[in-house]
Amino acid sequence: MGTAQDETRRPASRLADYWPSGLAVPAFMISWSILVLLPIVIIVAFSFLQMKSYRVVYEPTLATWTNIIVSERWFTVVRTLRIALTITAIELLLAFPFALWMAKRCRSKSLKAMIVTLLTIPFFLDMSSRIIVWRSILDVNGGINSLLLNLGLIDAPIQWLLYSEFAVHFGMIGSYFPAMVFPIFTSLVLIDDEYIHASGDLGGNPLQTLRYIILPLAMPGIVAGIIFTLVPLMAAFVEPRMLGGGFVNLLGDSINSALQELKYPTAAALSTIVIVALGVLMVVLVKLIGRREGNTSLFQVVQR
Amino acid sequence: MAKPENMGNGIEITRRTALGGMLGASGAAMLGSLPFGTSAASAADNPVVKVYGITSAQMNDWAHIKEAIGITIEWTPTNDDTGVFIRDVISNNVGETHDILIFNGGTQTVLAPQGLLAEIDTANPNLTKWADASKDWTESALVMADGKTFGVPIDGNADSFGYFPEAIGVDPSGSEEVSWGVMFEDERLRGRVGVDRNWSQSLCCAALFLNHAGRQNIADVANPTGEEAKAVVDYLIERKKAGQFRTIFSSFEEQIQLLSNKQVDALNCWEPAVRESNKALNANSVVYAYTVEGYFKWGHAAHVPAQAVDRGNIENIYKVLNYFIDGEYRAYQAIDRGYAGPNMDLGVEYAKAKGWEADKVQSIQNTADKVARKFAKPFVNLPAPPNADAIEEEWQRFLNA
Amino acid sequence: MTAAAIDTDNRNADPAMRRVHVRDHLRTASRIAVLLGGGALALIYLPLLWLAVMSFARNPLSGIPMPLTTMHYQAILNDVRWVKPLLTSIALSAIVALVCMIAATLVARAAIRMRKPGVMLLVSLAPLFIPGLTMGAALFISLRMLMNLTLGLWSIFLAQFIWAFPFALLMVLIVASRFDTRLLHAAEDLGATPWQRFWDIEVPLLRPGIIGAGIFAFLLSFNELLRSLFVRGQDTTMPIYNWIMAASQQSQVPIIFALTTLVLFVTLPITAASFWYVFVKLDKS
Repeated sequence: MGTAQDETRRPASRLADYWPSGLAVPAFMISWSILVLLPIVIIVAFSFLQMKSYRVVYEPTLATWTNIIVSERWFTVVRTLRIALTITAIELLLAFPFALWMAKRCRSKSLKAMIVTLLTIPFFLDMSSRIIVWRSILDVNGGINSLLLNLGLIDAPIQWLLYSEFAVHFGMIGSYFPAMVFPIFTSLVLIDDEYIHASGDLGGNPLQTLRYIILPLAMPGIVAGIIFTLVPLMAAFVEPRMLGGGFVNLLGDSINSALQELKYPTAAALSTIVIVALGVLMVVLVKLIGRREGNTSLFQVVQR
Repeated sequence: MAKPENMGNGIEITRRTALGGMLGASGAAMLGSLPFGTSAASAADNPVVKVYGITSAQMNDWAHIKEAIGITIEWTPTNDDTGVFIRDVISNNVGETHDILIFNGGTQTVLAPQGLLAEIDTANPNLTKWADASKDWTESALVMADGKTFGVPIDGNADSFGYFPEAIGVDPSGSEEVSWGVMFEDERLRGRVGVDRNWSQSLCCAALFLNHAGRQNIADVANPTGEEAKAVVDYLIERKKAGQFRTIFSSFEEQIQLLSNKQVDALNCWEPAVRESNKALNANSVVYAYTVEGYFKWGHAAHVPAQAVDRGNIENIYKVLNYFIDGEYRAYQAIDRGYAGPNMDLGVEYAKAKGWEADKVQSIQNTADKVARKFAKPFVNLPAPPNADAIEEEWQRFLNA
Repeated sequence: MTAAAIDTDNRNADPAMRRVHVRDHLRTASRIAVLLGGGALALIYLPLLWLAVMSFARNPLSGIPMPLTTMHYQAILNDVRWVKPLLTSIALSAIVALVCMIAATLVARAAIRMRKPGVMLLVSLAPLFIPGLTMGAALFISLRMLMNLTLGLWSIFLAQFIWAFPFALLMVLIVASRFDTRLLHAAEDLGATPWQRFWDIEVPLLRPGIIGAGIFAFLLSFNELLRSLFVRGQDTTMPIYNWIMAASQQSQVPIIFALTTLVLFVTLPITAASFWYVFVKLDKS
């Protein structure tokens, strides 16, 4: 990617000098670009083709695009984005305070190790079986409804606890929590306690310390956390299937359904919308943070 | 399994013995049951037939076939996803590495015209049981394309829906014929019905119901045109909005859970889900319906890829195909899964000859009777109907509604 | 949520009183933070505990744990078809993790030294914006249909690497973006060789990010299904095996519940021990 010619701050710190990155990185980036950009080009190109009895017809057409607009299929992208953004926001609210506590207030290293363990383990376990368990808890004759009925808090079982958008959101909160905590925790751990103490000594209250010291320094972690959560959420299919009960049709299922009939163009068109939507979202996010936190590029070295 | 089959093969013994020594007896037993050492096993005197197929057509133990006809089956499993199967055959060339392809019968209408499948030689001397099999199977849409035979039907069933008899006040014995309307518009079941997310299972059965009720006139319910599918989906959307359906399910586990926790009163599940649920509830709590209108009739077909014909293994391939329509496979599939298939009588004969318990023999007979009764009605499902594009697009409207 | 409360503190004149108030508020804030995080953890572990209980039930999906039985655990021992996919997955994920750690470290340290790393970062992170199934389909079309290659473990590796690398890169970047390159100049002035500067100064400072990258890459790869499905050729990983068995029309739930419980109780001590080692033993500072 022509990294070597980039200007650097000091003559002696040319990238090529930073062995072993110097040669390896350009080589890696060139092959990576081919590997990743080629499929993207193919996706966009395929959305202008059509399938006839499970065979690609190599003849440009807008039929796929008109179809997904007429059948309102594109709307699954909007619905998925809405749910993914809601969950990302919820996770951020849950995870940031918790990560801050873990990084700065939790004194016991063993406890910290235990929490990190608990956050890691779910990745090893089968998603479907974890989620299917919720069904017997949330259903009309499930645990929560029985409890509420017995306590006399409700007269009839609550229907919307299961097979609803509520259930899908509820199921997702646990699943995507670790992905938000990890990067934020990593960035918070790195903040030198001296800065925080200095802020206090200079008369800054905790809120000011949070706003002017911790948040800017944790920003790379927060952005990474948002990406780590939002991106897998866009492909979520276990929760909407198991807990949405066919009332919450999301992107992953829509693409899957198209591919079961080998409708590559339809899957490609839906994906093109996602790529554009996520791209716009990220640009907005980076611009917003950039404006708030001054002009420093997000992942640039903190220049002191 | 760790014991070498062929004592003349010295290398094989050494290798296995060494492994056994290294890993201990249990480790070796484990390895033995995995498809290791496959290349050594394909010697002429230890024939192997490689199958790429859907898991539900598998026997619980392939040792039976090894014992019966001396052929080792090597199975590469796949799911029931039509797209994946067709992709693997067309683009991934599974035919170059596998001898038999097993999937929901009907994909030959897509694959055969492209020259990917070999026509079945129904007169092959190793295919001894073909002539005995009923034409309901051997000449059905499960295996035919353009008037030629491109597959051997190996098992199948007629799917309907499971229901709790007391919920709709019918005879608990379950032999009474019930209308599909129970699922779609019975007021007593409002909000107590589960629908399969798979459109060929749900949309086509709704089409069957609407046709029978005289509300639609769909020429082929297994392959409605875009317009016809639209009409059916409009009806289903109206029912969905009216609150008839509690949930739309997609996995076998969900089917069992919905029935065994009594979360629904009716759902168009697979028959094994009813069997599983009745194990958790009392026997015969859930009934798998005999219907007024008809059934989603499906079957697994075994195809021979075009590339397999000249590999010198064709004799063994036909022996395996024949095994699939003979008594032993029939008997085990009926006992293990409740599936029927061609030559059910041979299954009963086999079980009697082997001295199986009376209730097992009876259960095979029951499966035979059940399927004979159900197969008299329409319709045979097509896993890859020509209008799949348009139907799938319409079905998305239902899911999004 | 405690923001308003803390804000009023500012107007408190007496510094000593103020410090006490701040401490109280911080304690309340900590409690709320722990409550939120603990709640989220409970959402993860309540179903897992219930699942572990039900793995001993005769009918795990019935919602009633009785009668208790160990039959599903015996069934696991009798059916060993899942062993090979599991071993394949573990080995593959380990390789993906290793390659990700190396590549992410090299790219991240290059990125922080560039004045305009924007394009490089965008290209590196691009796979994040492509839905998994689509990426799988696109890779399948390019590798198989256009380049006519025979797919197998190598293409699964490639697909999983493309998925995991952006996450690994972000993990290292979080740490690297805080890295002060002047340390290296100082070391250079003191006569350290490039290798010494890299291995003795940079790597230890980047270690939390590199370890995080490895963990994330391993986990993402271990669970990857959507892309692997397209490029698997005829190889089978653990998620693919589970996906295949879902169509077997024989309930896998009893076995999967038992297997999940086993995995839970095997990975828990191992993971705990390794994190304890990283956090308590390695981190003497």
